[in-house]
Amino acid sequence: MHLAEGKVGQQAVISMTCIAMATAGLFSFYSGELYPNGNSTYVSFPVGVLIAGLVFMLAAAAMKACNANCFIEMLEFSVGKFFARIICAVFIVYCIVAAILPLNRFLNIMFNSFFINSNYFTISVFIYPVLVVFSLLGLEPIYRTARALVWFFLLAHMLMLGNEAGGLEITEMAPIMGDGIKNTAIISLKSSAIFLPALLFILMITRSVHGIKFAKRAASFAVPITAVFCGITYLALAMMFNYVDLTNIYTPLYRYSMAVASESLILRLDKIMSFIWIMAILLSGSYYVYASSNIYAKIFSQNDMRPAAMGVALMLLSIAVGSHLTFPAIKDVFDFLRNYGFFIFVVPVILVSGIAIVRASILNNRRKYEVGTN
Amino acid sequence: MGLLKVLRSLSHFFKFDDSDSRFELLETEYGTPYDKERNKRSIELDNSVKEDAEISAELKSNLTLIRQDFRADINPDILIREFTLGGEVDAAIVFINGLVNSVMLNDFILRDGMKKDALENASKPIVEYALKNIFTVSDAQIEWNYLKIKKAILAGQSVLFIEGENRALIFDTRNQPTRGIDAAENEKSVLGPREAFVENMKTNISLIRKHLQNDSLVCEMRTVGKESNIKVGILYCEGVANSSLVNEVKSRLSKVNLNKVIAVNTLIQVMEKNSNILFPSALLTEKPDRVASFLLEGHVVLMCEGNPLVAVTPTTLHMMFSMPEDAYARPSAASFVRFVRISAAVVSVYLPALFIAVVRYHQGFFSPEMLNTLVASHTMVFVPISLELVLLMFMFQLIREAGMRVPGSVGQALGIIGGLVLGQAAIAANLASPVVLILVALVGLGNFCIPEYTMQLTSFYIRIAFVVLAIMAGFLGIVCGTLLLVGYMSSAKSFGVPLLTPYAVKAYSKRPLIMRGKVKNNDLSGEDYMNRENDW
Repeated sequence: MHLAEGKVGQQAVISMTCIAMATAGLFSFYSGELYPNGNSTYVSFPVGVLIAGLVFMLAAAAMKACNANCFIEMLEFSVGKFFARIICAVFIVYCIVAAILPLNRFLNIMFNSFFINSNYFTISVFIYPVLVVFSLLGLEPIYRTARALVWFFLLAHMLMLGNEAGGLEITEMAPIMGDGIKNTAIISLKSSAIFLPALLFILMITRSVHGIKFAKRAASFAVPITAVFCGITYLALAMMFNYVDLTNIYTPLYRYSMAVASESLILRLDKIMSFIWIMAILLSGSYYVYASSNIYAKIFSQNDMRPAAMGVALMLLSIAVGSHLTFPAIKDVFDFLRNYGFFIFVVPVILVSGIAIVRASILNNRRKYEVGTN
Repeated sequence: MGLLKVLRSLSHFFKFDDSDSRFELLETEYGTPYDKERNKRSIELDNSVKEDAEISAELKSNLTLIRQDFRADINPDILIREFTLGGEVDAAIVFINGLVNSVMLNDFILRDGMKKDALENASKPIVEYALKNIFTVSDAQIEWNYLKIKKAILAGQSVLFIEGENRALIFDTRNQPTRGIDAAENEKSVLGPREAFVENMKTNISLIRKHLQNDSLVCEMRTVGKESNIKVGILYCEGVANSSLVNEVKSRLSKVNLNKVIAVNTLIQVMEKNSNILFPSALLTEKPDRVASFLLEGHVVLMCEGNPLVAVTPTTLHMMFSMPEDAYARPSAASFVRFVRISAAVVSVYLPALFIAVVRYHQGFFSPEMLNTLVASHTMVFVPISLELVLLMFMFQLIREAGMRVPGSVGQALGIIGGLVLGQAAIAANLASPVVLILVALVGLGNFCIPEYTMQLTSFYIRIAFVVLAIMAGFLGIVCGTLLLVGYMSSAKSFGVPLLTPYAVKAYSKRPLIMRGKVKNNDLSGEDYMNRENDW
């Protein structure tokens, strides 16, 4: 598999980015952390998406300022090769975090709700080929699959939310923004680290998306769409369950769809919806596997990313299965990475982009001065 | 060696940059691929003849113009027969082979014109004298306008140019192939033309020319197959079909190195980049009207001597679910029928797998009443329900194959008797339950709604694969299988055009896909993914 990925259109980029961000946003956080004193997720998550969008725009501006064709070039221009590699390694880690947290949740749902007599390992046997094959097929098929399925995901999700619209009550939201400004801001900052990898990867493949201009345009569509999507979903949850109930629910969306099932004409929508989410999670998982192996191949100048893709997929599943079976401590590591992602991943990207802009402007001024004096 | 071969084919499967493929639907933000020669070609295409252009008095320059416009160098069916009129004046008759009545041409034009004393006592202008005194064709006229002359040739008339005359004689010698040719068997049409291609390539080209009277239509001939030396025709509309696509098809055809080429289907399989592809990379059709429409959209068509099917390249999944009928019916009716067809195909692929998944792993999907019915119908059946379904599907395929191999009416009877008797007997013998039988029948009906035979077969493999996945892992298996299938379809390309175009690739298609949309007046736009030369 070569790194000449081919070309993808804007609709495909927007679709894939939205799916990856939405699955990460909806399935990465545990209820216990989100609703300690009240519920304001319907504000904090959209804000988190917007923060990620702003960071993306800053990085894109930095790339433009230093005339870089790829995100790595900008990093190297800004902080040198060594630190660029460190930041790329952190980028890979956060791609894995954004993939693994929803996958973990999905493995749990599968095991506890559908295949009780099975085990995590057997379930993962079915997931691994999907992750590997997709990442081996390359960029074009991943993005085109997203483009093909995005309406299906969106319609199914909206149907599920809309089906229970009559049962939503505004009183369940009390206390309104009960989480307080501080907690809301903290969740927004935390979630921005989960949203950022999907967006930032567009800057890694600027050639495939027809340059920075079109990458920015794709992001400017993907960010508001995801923000609205997450906002509506969390708002529906907030109007269905109060924050005390939500704290005790493992996957609120699943419970929401179960609430629909009792009265709906559509038989057992909960089970159907779980499998549609699983499709979305698997697709975004493949995207993150592809993204991380692509970044790996680029920083180590490898022409073939197949070994990396297979390795990353295997590692991803091993971690997901291992955290359930033998090494619960792994979960703590990923919780740490998720909770401090803003400082570990987002802040360095902001700093590096800032440095790149300043350095580029200094160099430009110097060049202008030299031209003027000559 | 075997392992190496498997590894090689696997690496070929996962190769996602077809660097040697010249025609690629590059998803540029402006809809057309970047092409260095684009401006050059546009200038060449603009060099067309004006509407009121007259023919020259020089025979040689007239013939050069005709040769140039009709691409006589590569178009073997454009015939120019030069002779001496009355043994005195040079003349030439131009016509399209296959569209004219050769008896009429030989006996009443060439024989009369070649008589030694034909121009005795002739007065000038010779063209008028010849019309009144020499040629014994009832429908003949004098014409000076070059465009009208071209149209006449395309319509199957014969045009006589005479040296020193700036007017030509047009004889109505039309003999277009009409019904007598059989109706299409596989692509039945209620509203549109019913004629189908035959085994004679000359007749097939004439049938296309009948529907597409356009001088841009080019039919190049090649000989393929070391032993069989089969004539292969490459048809395209010059100035419409993307030249990169045309070159790609020609280049792949030139690489074909087979001992025998029997049919266009074989040829296409050899020309495919990845012959393991589940989906066909060319649409096989037997309808001339459909081919004419594809040619105008910029597709390239391949036909073989002795084969009544022609291959349209590139093809997309959407094309394989379309029927000629869709274009002739009213928009609402066509949209509805197309929706039914696509739904039926989806149902036929997924229904058995969903049923198995629900029955084996996710009984909670069913209401208690439905579950009771199912259990009651299966109580006496001793075979496990998965095996029962697979056996019945196999039996259905068996009846279908048997029905296809025996002559027409017997085949129909076999299908009915096989279905009824075997089904009834299977239920009576407790080999199958009625619910499963109904399900298999529904699947069979859905499968027959898929217009393409090759796609019907493909859907059979996919169905079986989904059933196996459902037996192994229920809905999880189906979900994984679906993702892999869509991923595979997203990566598959037919002559550089992604199979899922224009669903899952950026394309500026103005037409709705399932909803057919109105036929608009003055709408000259084609499918944008073809990157037609005349769209630039």
